[in-house]
Amino acid sequence: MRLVFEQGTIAIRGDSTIPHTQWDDRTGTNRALGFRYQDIQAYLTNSNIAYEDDVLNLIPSPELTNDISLRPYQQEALDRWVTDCCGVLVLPTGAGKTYVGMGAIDWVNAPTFIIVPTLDLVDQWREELSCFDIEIGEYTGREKQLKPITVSTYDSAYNHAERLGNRFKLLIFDEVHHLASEGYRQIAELFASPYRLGLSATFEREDQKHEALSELVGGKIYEIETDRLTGEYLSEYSVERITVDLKPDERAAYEENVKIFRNYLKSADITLRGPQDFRKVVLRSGNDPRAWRAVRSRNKARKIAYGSASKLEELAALLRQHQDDRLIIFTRYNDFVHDVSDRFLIPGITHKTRKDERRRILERFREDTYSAIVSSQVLDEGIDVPDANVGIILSGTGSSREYQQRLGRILRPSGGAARLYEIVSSGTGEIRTSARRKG
Amino acid sequence: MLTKDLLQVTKQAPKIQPQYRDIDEYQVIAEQVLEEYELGKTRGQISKRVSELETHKTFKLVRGLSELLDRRAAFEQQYSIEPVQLREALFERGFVTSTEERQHVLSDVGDEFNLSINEIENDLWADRAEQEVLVSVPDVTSRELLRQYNLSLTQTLLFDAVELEFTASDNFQEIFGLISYLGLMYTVAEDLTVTVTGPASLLKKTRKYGTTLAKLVPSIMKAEEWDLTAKIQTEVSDETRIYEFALDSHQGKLFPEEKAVESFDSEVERDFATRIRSLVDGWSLNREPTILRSANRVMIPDFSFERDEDEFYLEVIGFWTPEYLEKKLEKVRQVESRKPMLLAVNESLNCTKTDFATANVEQVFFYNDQIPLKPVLTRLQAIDERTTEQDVKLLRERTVDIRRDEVIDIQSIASAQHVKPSAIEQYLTETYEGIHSNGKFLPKPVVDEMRAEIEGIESATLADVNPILDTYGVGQDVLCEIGYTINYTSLNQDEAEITKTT
Repeated sequence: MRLVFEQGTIAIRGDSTIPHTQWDDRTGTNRALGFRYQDIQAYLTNSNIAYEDDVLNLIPSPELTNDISLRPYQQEALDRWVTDCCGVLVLPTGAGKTYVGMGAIDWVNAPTFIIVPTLDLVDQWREELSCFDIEIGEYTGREKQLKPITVSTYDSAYNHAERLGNRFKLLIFDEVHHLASEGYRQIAELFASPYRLGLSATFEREDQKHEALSELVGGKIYEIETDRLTGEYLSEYSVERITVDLKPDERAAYEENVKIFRNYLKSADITLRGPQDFRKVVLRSGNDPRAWRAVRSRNKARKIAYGSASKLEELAALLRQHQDDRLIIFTRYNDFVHDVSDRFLIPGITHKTRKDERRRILERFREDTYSAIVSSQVLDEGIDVPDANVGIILSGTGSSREYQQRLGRILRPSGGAARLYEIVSSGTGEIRTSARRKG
Repeated sequence: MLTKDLLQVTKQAPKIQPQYRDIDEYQVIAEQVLEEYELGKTRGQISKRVSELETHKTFKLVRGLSELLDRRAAFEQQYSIEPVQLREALFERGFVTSTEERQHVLSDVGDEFNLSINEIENDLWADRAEQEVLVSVPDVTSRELLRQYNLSLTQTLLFDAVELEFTASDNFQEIFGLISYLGLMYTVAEDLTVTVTGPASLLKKTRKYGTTLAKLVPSIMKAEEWDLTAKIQTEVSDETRIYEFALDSHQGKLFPEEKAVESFDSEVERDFATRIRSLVDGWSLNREPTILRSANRVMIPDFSFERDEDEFYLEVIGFWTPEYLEKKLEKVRQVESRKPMLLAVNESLNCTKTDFATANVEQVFFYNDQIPLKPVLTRLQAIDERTTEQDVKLLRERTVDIRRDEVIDIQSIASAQHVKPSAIEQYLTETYEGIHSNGKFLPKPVVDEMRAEIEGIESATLADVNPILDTYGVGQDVLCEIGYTINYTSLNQDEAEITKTT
């Protein structure tokens, strides 16, 4: 009997019925998904069946050690993981998840593949991993270089799982809640890597899909609350909500567009309870001119509410008030980042910003040449921004996860209390999303 | 391929179909979108104008066309000072909170770079996509664009495919090369329908291979005739359902017109094809004519020789790696072919006939630099002789009656009897008295009648007898057969006298 890795699956030559496998007529072998590798090994060993194991083809690797020292809670988390070499660790943003991951690599001391949601995080991980003193690989849309430690995105890992699935012993999923989506789940299924670590600040998903992960990564084995770290490791902060009124002309345009949208909902007998219901309207817009106009109006209304001139005026006031502070301004829309950047001459970062310019901006922010930056969603998850003590949210969608992580951005232990402002337009749908978010 | 949000489908369980756009009907819209791509316009200007063309019926079409055009157009950033440099200069002066402050900083930086405030405003964001300027117009006609659009819709629908089935009349090398290049797997049914899936498809219904399956479509459509069906997985109100998608070459006019061109794996094969083509009169020589099943793979024979019901394959095994040879031999051993197969094997491979002992092939021959024509020609001849003989035997058993008082058309009897014309010729010759000419048989009574007509003309010339020959539908060769000599004195048929052969 012989086990071979074939494009995300384990092909088993030789007869014998093995759990989790299925006969494949196309190749005349038995076949199982990659992640069953360990189960199959265990089964064969326990049944005293001799087999040749050609599954893993690990990237040749030197010793992978570093000499970082972990904080007590980080060490505690790592110790918990080491017991089974699988499972999810939940640590708040800013608590140094990356360090726990590096601790795991050091412990396993074998080729490791790290999967993160965004290219920003790829850059950040690579930078941190430089303490291993070897060249760190990257497998993404922009670069494909495999090294004993390689960082990739969920998208690239999904696209190339069948090629990479047997090259690494340890898989690290950063922001592991992403893995729960139906598509990304297949990354974990197609990789044969026996060791798996999930990291997250917010493991529980509203759709409960995270429960599906336990078979693929292991369940939650450690969690530490933000409260336990606040003070010593994370700074305290206060939140202030500022409500602004739309300009009269904005208000008129807003009301008009909302009316078109609402009238359509009423006539089509649709009640909006969540994004699902809205998608229904979008679906209809292909055949129904009124649905199409409704969607257009709704988008216009949203844009008015998000990009209101009153918000920019309020922002100007806040900027004057915080001349001597270090500010990070968030907005969800790239266009709005541009508007803020252009009007206030504040460097802006979106996912379109070129890598070198982004690096320059963050560098100059760090050295205090710039005292403010404005950014869209890109900074949502873990990009290592230099410390700031004032955050201003100009818009948001209102999921609890996003809110928490945005906060985490400025909760860097920089001493002194951090302040967070949230500027919302009154009398618009936005109030509702923001309130939902807080609850 | 388009982004998924631009896909429009009609569903009628269990069927799903993209909303293809008729080339004639939508050409005007395609033209309108195309016209917006004017040299010197910025991306932002173009996309604004294009979005004004959208109606509720066409907004996805318009956006889709524009997406395809964006990929074929070239845009360029235009500025006199690097925007990044300008921004840094502005930003390092600190943020501003009023218009006056902003103007002040702008003019300050303007002094540094020797630019006016307006010039700074122009260059400041010139590296944003919206401000890039069109420098090369997409090289495509509105009709081609629509065809490309329909193809892209098909591919985008297939993003959600869990399985793709197809048949094709040709272009096999490209299609199967691509399947294996893309890491897909397939099975072939007896009717040669190919089902393509990915390795893990066996273990779970997955859309993972959808985008990869979509890449096969252009190659399949290059075949003269094709048909494809796919299982599409979509969510309908939170439930996962499978829909069926079907398309075939009858709708080919909706799609790009590119067809496969004949290609050869090697010069040796090209050379062989060129040489033999002129020698195989009546037979058609086809390059990679079909796929054959071989265990759970396909084999694509290099050539087939075909005439009427007769067909055989010729597979060339040239110089390759040992692994390739081993695979090839395995395929040849297991091939399921109803037609005979010949193998031309390169001598330098060091194979012997015994390597092919168990192979399902008729004949193996070896070659050095050139594939010899002789084995093939001999075979063609043998088939001719063999089938003629078999047919004659058949005719003898049937005893075919013919009228003796009229000219017999060989071809029409052959068709009626389902045999080769050559068999009819042979059968008639051995059964009846008479002569052959021009695909006709003239029974003796007819010959006599014709001879009498010719004799009725005094000192006949060739020009005189031609009308007679024409009425019988025979050629001048008949004259010799029935005992006349043509005495040419010039090329002029009026002067060619017909005399009885003595």
